[in-house]
Amino acid sequence: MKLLKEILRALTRPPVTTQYPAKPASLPPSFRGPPDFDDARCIRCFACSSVCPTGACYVQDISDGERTVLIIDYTRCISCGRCVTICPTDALHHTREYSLLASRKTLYTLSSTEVDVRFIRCTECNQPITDVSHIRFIADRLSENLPEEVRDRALEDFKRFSSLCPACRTKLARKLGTSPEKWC
Amino acid sequence: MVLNALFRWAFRRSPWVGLLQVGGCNGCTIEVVDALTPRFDIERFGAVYKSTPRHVDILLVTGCVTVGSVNFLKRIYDQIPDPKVIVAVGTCAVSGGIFTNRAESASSYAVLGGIDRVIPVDIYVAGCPPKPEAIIDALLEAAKLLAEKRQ
Repeated sequence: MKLLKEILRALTRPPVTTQYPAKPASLPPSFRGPPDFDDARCIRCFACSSVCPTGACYVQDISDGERTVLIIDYTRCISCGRCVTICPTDALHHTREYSLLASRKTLYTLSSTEVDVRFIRCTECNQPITDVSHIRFIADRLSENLPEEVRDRALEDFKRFSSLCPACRTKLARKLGTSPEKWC
Repeated sequence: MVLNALFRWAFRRSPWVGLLQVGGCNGCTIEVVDALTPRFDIERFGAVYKSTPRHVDILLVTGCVTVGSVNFLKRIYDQIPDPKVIVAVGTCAVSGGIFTNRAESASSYAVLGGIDRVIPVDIYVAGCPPKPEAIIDALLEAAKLLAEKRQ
């Protein structure tokens, strides 16, 4: 009786085999494909390239440092999603690409986007520090999240320190000293 | 002449598949085995899994090439009769993946990188691991390539 039931069920059910090449694959909602990059949201902090474990996501200067490109190399990307997690502005997102084939390595579609980096230079030594929009992003974050009573002061300090390169920043901090009374 | 044509016709839709793991984490190997199960069933396309390289037309290679696996990868490549199609399955087989880095200094000393450092590769399948659907796509592509090579 049990077997008969099983036979009847097998007759009515569709086969378990997927119809793959004829029908597209069913992807789970949280499927992580290789990430893609959205230039409009990027603040050029390039945290993505520093956390990438395989070096798939990297920043490269082209034409003698005139232009900068952010490259995601799909031959190296393992879709771990660390760049997507670390991105503070959600400029990176996972695609739903699942079938990445190529007959030659160079035929792989690199996600290569030219990013326009406008460097802030250190006011003391003229070293490039970071992008304008990165500094603006941090300033916005500070003014949003700091309590009312310290905000103005902190932003003033931030302005003073963010226009300096790390080396000059250290020098200034040494000069000011590290005792808390001087800071607040 | 007639016999050759008959062979070509018979071979056209029966690519025999071999699987070789040369390093890496075994994830892609499991995905290839998954493609053999009734759920994905690559035998729909006439592909039969064979465990000896002498019977194989399409070799699916998974994993990055380690220093220890160079010799047997070369030997198995030579044992496959011509024409043959080599498919690099997974990011490790394509470029070395997580076991290497774009910066050579951050790479492992025991890993050479992708399998194209050692043997010629016809089809690359990226993904960590690639879905069985991607492996099916690669297999169909490889069967097409094989028919071209037999001409």
